[in-house]
Amino acid sequence: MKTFAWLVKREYWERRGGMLWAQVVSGGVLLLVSLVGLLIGAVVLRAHGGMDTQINVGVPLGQLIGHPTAGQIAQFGLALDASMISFVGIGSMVLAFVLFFYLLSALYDERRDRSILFWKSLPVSDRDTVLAKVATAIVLAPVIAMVIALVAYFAVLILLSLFALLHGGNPVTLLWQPSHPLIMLVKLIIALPLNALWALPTVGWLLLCSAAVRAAPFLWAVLLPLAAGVLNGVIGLMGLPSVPGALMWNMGVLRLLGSTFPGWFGHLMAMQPGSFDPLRDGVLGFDLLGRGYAMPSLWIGAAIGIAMIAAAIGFRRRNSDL
Amino acid sequence: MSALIEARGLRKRYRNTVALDGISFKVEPGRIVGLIGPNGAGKTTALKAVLGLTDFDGDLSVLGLDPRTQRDRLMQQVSFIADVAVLPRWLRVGDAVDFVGGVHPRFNRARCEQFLARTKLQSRMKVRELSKGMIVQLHLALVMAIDARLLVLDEPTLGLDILYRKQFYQSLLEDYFDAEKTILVTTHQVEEVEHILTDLMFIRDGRIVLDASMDAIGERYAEVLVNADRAEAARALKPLDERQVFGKSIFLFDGVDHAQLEALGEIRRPAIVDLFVATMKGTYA
Repeated sequence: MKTFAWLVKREYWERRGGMLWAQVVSGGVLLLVSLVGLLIGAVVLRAHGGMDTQINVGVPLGQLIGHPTAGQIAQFGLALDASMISFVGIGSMVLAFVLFFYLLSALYDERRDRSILFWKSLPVSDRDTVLAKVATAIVLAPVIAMVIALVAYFAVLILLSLFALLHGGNPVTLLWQPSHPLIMLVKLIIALPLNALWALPTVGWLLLCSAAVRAAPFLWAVLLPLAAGVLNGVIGLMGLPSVPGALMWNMGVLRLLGSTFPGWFGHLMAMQPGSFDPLRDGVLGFDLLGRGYAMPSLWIGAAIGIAMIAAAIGFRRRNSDL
Repeated sequence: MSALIEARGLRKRYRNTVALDGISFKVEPGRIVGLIGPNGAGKTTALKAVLGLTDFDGDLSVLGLDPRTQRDRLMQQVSFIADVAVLPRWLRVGDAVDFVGGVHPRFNRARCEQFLARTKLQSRMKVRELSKGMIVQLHLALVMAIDARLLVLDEPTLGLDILYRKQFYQSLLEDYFDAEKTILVTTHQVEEVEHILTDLMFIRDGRIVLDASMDAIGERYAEVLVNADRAEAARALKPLDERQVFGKSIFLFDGVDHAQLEALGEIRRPAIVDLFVATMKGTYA
């Protein structure tokens, strides 16, 4: 267990740039944009004295300080909850790119620079080494990303509260009570393992390419599934038995390459169209999460991902050179 | 005590070449063994087999374990420096010490820091900022702080200047090696390890062509400085090699009685380099 913690720490040292600083930058940009919005809002309000400004920082600023109705206040709450999700969502988008390239080089770079010979000189198994990389990708990095996104979100919420306070509004009744930060946090935490399971096919595929190929892991990882998809399409066009196009691309190619993006949500929408109503179900409802966990494609994908991770461990055991 | 490494009939072939052609050897504990051979002779493959880094056919036991299947246990007791500069470039000196300390049960942190204190290495430095010589200093400090029974070195000083090379082997002898430890080293800089080796193995085309202790080599081989008038008599004894220096001939003999040689001229123990060149004659032809 202690060894495993060191292995994960090692991954973090190597990729601090992508896992920490990229998130700090994207959170900082969101914060900065919000701050600029609030400043412009303050200037506009002072110039016109009116409440008709259309500027929106999470909530419409004009409404916020203009004696909003109970209905409007309830809308503020939903809008803030949605902002909280989008802050975390934007962080996940950034992270998805970081993870794609992290996983693709995780078992390749060490062979290219021959540092694998140093790692293999220590009493650490190939299994633990690879699993530490998996844990870094689906646990550590998403948690760091979420924490940073939430820090940025709450900083914006505090700025918004100051804004309301300066304009004679009560931030507690206008912002903090109608929104549901704690419940949203619980939902986000419940979504973490779902995102992790969802990511496994891509994690497995990229690690497998990273461990197996002798050159150009990016080309192998991307072109192989694309070629399979195109070939399948051509076979279908010739009237021969083939996998249906939508299934091949959505369940195959896209799942192998794009699952570091938490795309289960869109996948669920596509599988069960019309089943989701944000007004009825709330933002990221528990029901939605439950249906996410119940998707067979989630578990089938995870099983395939785990098989590919096992194969990657086998390759690392055998290949210590390019 | 039984042999530390025991290899019987090791075979390994790559697509077009035979790297190991059924070699057998033993390494006893407390020895410093030099595995010397020309490029492509199979040295690195042999070391990789010992370290469980490659598949092969044949029987191999290292510390009583099979490196193919018991590698994780084996590495608790075996250290290696495979080539220079394999430390990852992003690693900080301090983090490297923390990491090895964290995962290796036989690592002595205080000892490592003591070794590092003798160098210019600073805890915050990254490997990418270090010269090749400093990287090796770091690697050696990490490895010497591990209480391993077997240390394997594969060309550990390649590309280093003479100061670092001397310091490397001196540290190994003074601060690391003792009767409990065994070192297996390959290098092309034979003259630098000559005085520290206790045993010598020559490998050529995947076969062991010489395997003897340094003492035995002194008894078996002799170099004789012969005047021109006795050269014919010397050639009659079938020398391994002959070269000319200042009008005299230097003959290298294998297994000829020393008393017989004394009659021809001045006898001395051959340098490993000369022995190597004579043994490997025609390797690249």
